[in-house]
Amino acid sequence: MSKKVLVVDDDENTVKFLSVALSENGYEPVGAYDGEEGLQKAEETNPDLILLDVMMPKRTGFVLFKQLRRHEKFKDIPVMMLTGVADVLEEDESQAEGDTFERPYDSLRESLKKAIKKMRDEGLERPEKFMDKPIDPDELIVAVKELIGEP
Amino acid sequence: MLKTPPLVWKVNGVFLAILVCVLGVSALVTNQLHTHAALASARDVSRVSSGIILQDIRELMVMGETMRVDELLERLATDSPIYRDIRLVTHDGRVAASNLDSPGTVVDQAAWPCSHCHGVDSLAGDSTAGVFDDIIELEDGERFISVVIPVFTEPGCATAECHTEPAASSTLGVLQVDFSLGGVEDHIAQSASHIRIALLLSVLFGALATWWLTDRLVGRRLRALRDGAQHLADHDFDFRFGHSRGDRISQVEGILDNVTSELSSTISELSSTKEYLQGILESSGDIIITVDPFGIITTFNRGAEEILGYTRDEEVGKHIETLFADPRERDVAIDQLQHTHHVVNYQTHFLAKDGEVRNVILTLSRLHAPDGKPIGTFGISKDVTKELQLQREVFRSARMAALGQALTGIQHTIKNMLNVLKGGSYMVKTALAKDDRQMLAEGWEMVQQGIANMTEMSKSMLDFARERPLDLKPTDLGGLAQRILTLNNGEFEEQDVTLELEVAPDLPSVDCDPELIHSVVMDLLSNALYACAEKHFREEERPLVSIEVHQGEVEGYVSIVVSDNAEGMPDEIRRKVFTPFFSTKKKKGTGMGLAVVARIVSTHGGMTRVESEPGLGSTFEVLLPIAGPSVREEDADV
Repeated sequence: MSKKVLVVDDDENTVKFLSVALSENGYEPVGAYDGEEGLQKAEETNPDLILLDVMMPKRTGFVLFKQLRRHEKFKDIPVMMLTGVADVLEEDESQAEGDTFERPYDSLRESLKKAIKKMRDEGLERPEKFMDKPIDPDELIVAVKELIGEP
Repeated sequence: MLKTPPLVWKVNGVFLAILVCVLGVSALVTNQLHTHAALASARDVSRVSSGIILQDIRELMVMGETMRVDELLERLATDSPIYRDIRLVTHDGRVAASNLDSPGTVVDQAAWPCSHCHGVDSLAGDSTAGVFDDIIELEDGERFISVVIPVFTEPGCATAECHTEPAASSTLGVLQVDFSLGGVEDHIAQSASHIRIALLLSVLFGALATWWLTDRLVGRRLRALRDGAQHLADHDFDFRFGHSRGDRISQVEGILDNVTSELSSTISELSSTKEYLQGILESSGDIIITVDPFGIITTFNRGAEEILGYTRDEEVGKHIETLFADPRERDVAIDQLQHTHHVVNYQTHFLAKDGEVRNVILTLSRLHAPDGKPIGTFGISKDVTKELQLQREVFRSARMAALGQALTGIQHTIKNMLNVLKGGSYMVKTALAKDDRQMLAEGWEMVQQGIANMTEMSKSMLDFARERPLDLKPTDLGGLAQRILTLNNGEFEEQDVTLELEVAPDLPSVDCDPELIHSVVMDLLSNALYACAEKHFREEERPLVSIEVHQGEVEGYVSIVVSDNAEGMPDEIRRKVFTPFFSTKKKKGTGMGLAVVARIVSTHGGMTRVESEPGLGSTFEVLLPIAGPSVREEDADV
């Protein structure tokens, strides 16, 4: 049985082409369009990997991520977060927090960094991987393989 | 200037004048009465004396001693100088005996005393005439009483040798006795002189008495009143007249006492108010300066000393102009003050002693005396130098933040679009490899969508940055809203959202660019529709979007309100909705819609407002000035 990958993104185009890329590479994609649906689908399908968009209406990616991490059943499922600002978040946190970064007014980055720091303070594992948008399907597949191995 | 004589002098003068008049008249009357009485008694005495003389003469005649009559008369005249003349005049006008005229002298029978009985023109006598007299004044001024006694025929007269008168004639002649009035007149003159002395003394005494009395009764009191008033004038408010005598002056004193008491308490109230105000003036950290109508500084408080560095002594008396860093700013303030009588929050610059320029917010008001006469200007200025610096820094930060946010937004939007393009092209590539037409179509659709999104964004950015002058026309906003409703009703119905329109009656037409306002309303509607589509409505709830056009709360404005009953938004989002590239529509919006709306409305001289209650919905209000944008705003391009 092939490995299941849950894709949670409010943009149906993203869900669509990621699903195509995953299935082309032998994985079994499961799509969800918001946080609530994502949690429900995770319950139903018990995926091997979750691709999670950070900014979504109703329940943001981070809220869902924290719920998953706190959930006994899902806490060990690796999570790849999809965001436009992954480049920053992949940096070493201690360095990033040292205000050495040149764009202090970038509120989106700031709020994401804060959210990650808060998560760490709560003792939660940070997401296994951040993937920057626009997503290159080939890069994605490489990253998926790194996280959960071949389908 | 002539010094006005004291009141008491005037009173005395009047008294004296009255006294002199009264005493003078009485003296005159007394003198007249006395003269009259003296003359009357002299006449009486003269008559009596004349009677006695006639008696003596008659006796001598009766005794036949006619010749002794002359002797008698001579003796009498010699013995008493009072007799000027004693004469006997016969009825035919001849002098029989006289001390002055020789016997035989004929008198003028037309003259007195003959004329007394016989009249001037006729010698027909009045036989009944008795004793008569008169006061005769001679040309040399000598006056005498002349008493005339007719001598009637006695029995035996006809035979007497001394007679020449016929026996039938009843009147023999007259005895005329002239009494000299010299003594009487001397007496009268003496009396008059006594009366004059008495008058003089009375006037003198009366004047002194009047002087003394008026001084005692009025003068002293008036002096006391004047001295008391002087206390008042010298600001000695402890002085009181006290005791009252119940007269008018005391009443005045009582009134002055009351006035002094009231004045004293008013002054003490005033002084405590003054201290209180002085305290406020001094404890204020702001610059408080007053100037007189000529612009000369009259008050310079501690706040002014501390902020500007000058001392009060240095500044009071100087012209206010010297404080302004730029005299033109002062001219502007004064000009405004003259037109509107006050200047509120005028931002200007003062020159401090250390040469630094202080930014101040100046408020000026005219000071007027109770009669409305301008007495100067009151100015209070707040030093906002630090605040302005801080504000500039905050503005700079905010501008940088907005720029950063905009850049992030652009980056984010572009990344999302690229994402779609990348995904679409991946699908096209995969579909081509697999010859999967279905996937090819889907992939191609995604690529198209990405291109459309990017086109829309670049158009919005152009709209935002584009320079386009307003095409102003008087516009019926209600009609405009109605057309929009008609155009969009279908789309709303499709999504099961109710669209309502309410237009207030009698709205004036608004000077605006209808095409741009149309796009503004369209944008607000599409936002509302999107918000409704995003919300999961409860069963009993129906998605509803309404447009209202009515008179604005602000006078001279018309308001277009677009509200929905969707999710609404929290404050942090509400504050950013008009920021370019800020979007909550995820990958679907460019984040430019409301930024363009705000820009169009502000170019029209209008205002954009948003209110939102999370869970209940949002309300966007656009206020447009009926008269259109002011010239300055119109010049600006959209």
